[in-house]
Amino acid sequence: MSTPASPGNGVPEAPQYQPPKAPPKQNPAFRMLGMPNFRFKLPSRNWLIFLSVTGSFAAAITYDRRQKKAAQKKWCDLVSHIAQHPLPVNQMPRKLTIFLSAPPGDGIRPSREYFKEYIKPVLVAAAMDYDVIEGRKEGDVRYGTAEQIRRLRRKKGEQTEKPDLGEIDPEQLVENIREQLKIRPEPVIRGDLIIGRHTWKEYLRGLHEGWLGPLDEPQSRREPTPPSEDASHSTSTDLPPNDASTSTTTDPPLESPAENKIPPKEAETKPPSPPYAYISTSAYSTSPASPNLPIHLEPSAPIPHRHILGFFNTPIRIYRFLTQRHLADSVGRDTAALVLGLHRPYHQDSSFASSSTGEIDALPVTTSSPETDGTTSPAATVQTAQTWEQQSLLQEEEADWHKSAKKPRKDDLERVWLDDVVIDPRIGQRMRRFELPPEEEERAKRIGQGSERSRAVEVMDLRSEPVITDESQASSGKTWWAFWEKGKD
Amino acid sequence: MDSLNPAEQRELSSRMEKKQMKEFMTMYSKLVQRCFDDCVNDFTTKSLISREEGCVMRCVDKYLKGSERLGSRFQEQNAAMQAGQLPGR
Repeated sequence: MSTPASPGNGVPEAPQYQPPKAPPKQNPAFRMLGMPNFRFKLPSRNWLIFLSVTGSFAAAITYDRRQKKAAQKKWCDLVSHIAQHPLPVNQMPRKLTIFLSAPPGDGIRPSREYFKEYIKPVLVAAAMDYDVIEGRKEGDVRYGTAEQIRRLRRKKGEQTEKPDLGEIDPEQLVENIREQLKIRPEPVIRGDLIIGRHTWKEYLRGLHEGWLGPLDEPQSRREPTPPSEDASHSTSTDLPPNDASTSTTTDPPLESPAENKIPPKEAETKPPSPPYAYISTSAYSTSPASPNLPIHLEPSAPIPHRHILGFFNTPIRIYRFLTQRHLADSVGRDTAALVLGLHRPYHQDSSFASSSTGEIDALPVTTSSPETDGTTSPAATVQTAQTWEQQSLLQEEEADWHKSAKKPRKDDLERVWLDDVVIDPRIGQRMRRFELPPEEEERAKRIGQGSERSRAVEVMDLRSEPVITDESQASSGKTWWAFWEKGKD
Repeated sequence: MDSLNPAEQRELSSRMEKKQMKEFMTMYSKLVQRCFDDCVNDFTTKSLISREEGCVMRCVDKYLKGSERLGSRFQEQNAAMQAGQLPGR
């Protein structure tokens, strides 16, 4: 019904009816140009959620990367003056050694990228030369380090049964020629840079093996199944494969010799890569050090490399992905310390050692103890674990290691990554650690704040200066030919 | 080299000498050109002003030392290759 009095439908609705809104005002010129008439309003709820989530993530990344760049710039600026030191022609620039190996459970690539991303910029800013010792799997770096030291020892004239002929080392050749040409390395300390706890462990092992071990591969290693090997290859214990004499008493005779005969046989068919260690950790204290062992080994800079794998670790990985600035800052500091070259001995902390039994307490300091067999038990290894600063460095990284790295392996190669770090006092005392001097730290802070500039001299480029010619000076009325003409008159 | 007779040897050495001379002259003119271009930019006087002089000194120094370093690296590699019969790395 269309009667206005009817309460049901027509009349009450009439005031609620609103005429369609007039379109908002628009510049007639824009309208004539065909611009659509936008109305500004908040996007829908879903859009808001999407935009805020992606936006905040993107902002977090951008902020982090910008801060990271600033942090790196700071450390680069701190060392960039070193690149400007002139170097005599007959000197080779300071050469660092970088130790780098694939993180447990992963390939070598992340390590390389890590080096490139965080360490290399600082080295490049200071124009450092470097060698890289790479390890693709466990033990590679250990072998490389030891082999380098053994090569040095051979070069210094230590007795070796290995015939030198036939094997030509190109690096050695170049080195010899440099000696003839009287080209020397720059007279500064070199330095070792070790990336990650796993590499650090291998590096330490390699140092000990190189300086304390024999120059030639022990014969017992190459023979397939000498009786002593059975005991040392007991698979389930953590003990590394040992040399004969020391290991027989230490190992609990749990395993049947039958199952242990298999790995050496396999090893005989194919030489293991990397080769076995020439000396076991338990034989350190009995082994005589090389006479060429220097008073100070090359200082080292252990650099943290935290690498975590796994889908369920995604939150941790995202967190690290978004806080790379802190990482860049700390790695930059360590690298700058290495470049600046100030170092100190490693701390030797004996407070932990005293907590355990007393008779083993003396072990780390004795150089040639007669009671080796008793003291080199696994207990002793654990005992010394807290004694040296080197042993616990970067230890927090081990929690990140992938479980596949902790699985027992089929081959009987030493588990350098899993074994406790054993430090011989002869090596441990000779090691040095790079440390950033406090005044440099302050300077870095000031550079970061922008209140101080880098010590590098700014290069003046005369090419960019304007060329001064007669025309440019003509306005001042002073030209050389004006004088010349005056003289002619 | 051994198969040449004395006349040829003389010829060879004189040619080598010429070649070396030429190389040296090329290097020299290159050096002069470079350092002049980079350093000299004031043409209102016929003498070098002190700034330019310092620049030229450093420029020549840098160039010579650089080429010396380069040469010795080449020499090393060459010697290493000959001694070890290595393929060029």
